[in-house]
Amino acid sequence: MKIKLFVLVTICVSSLSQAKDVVSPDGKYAVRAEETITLVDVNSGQTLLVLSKSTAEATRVEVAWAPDSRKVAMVEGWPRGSAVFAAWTDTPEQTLLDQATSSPRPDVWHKTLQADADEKAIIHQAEQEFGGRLVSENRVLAGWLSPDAVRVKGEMHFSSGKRCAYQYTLHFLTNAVGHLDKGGYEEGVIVGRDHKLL
Amino acid sequence: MKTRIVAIAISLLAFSACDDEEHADQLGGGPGSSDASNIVAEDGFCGPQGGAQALGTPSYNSSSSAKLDLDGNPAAQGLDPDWHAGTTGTLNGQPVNSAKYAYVVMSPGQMAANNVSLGDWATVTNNSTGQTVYGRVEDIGPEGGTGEISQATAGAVGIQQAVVQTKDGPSTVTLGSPTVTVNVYAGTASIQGDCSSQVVSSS
Repeated sequence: MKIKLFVLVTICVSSLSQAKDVVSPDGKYAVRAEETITLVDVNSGQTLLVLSKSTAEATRVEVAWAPDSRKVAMVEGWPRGSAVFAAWTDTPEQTLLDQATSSPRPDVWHKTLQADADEKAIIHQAEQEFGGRLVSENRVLAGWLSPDAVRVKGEMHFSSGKRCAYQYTLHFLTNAVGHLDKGGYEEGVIVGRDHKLL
Repeated sequence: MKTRIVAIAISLLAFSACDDEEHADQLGGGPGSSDASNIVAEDGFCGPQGGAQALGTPSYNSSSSAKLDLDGNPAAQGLDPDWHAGTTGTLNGQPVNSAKYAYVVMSPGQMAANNVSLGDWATVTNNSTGQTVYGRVEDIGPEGGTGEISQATAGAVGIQQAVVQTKDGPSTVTLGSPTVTVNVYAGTASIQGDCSSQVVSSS
């Protein structure tokens, strides 16, 4: 399948003096990085979700919208670690008939994050292979493979001094029943699969 | 990989006394220590005003092997292959010195999932001895990481540290296989320190 990357923007947080918007392909929504990272409605300016509550110490924020504008993946990076967040809408897309016969329905957005447990096996495998414990890692979004899957690449650094690159596919399981964690994220909706050391 | 211990030292030092006035404007830097036998938790973070009751129920809990984070200790450069001059958290704009301040490390995912912010209070318990100390979340580590604590935290709960020689150079590690339980209290970063409650329990 041809990999088509519609929107992939990296924001250097340290250089942010004003809000940086990464707008969805359909132009309706944007991920806005300032002191927090939010999902906003472009037309109304209304904040729909707070995706990350602080960028104060982050070194990098990367945003990749899915081609259909109904999902967005995001990596926030710090000097020794990273986190993968995402948001999606499950509001059915309106047909022309819907639009003609009823008032527009607002899309309902949800947020999720990739649980650390997702990476446990590949970290363990890499620690066995390269020695020592994982002391730092970072990840980047490497393009949408389909409307429901995005490639993630990363690098791990071990206490042995060795490093290794790895990759996996992040799948959106938007029909799954997520577990709402204390941060308000519906865990279990994005899942990493097909991990591979490179 | 053959590891040769070139220095073994014990730090069983509890926090020394300090007062709220010092805590209010404490600096995160300081000289630190390159001698694993001389890790002294000086001002530390003491304990939270109001004690354990002020913290409520922990939002995050883990029990795992203890690992040392030497970041922020300027004297530790060269004693850890992954040493960083800075910590993610800062005190008055300076790194949080691992040798002086009791802190714990969390991954970004753990923090987000549990609504934890830098500066939130934590307790660390040595599972073998029951010794417990207060600290704060002051560094962000890799995904999946648990049990990573500052040198001062380790010393305060009786975990011994040693500098060992590896083929990649010196590395500072815990002695034996200590395990710790870390509890983190979300939304407590604004609670000031009170040094009369610096150690939760000493045995």
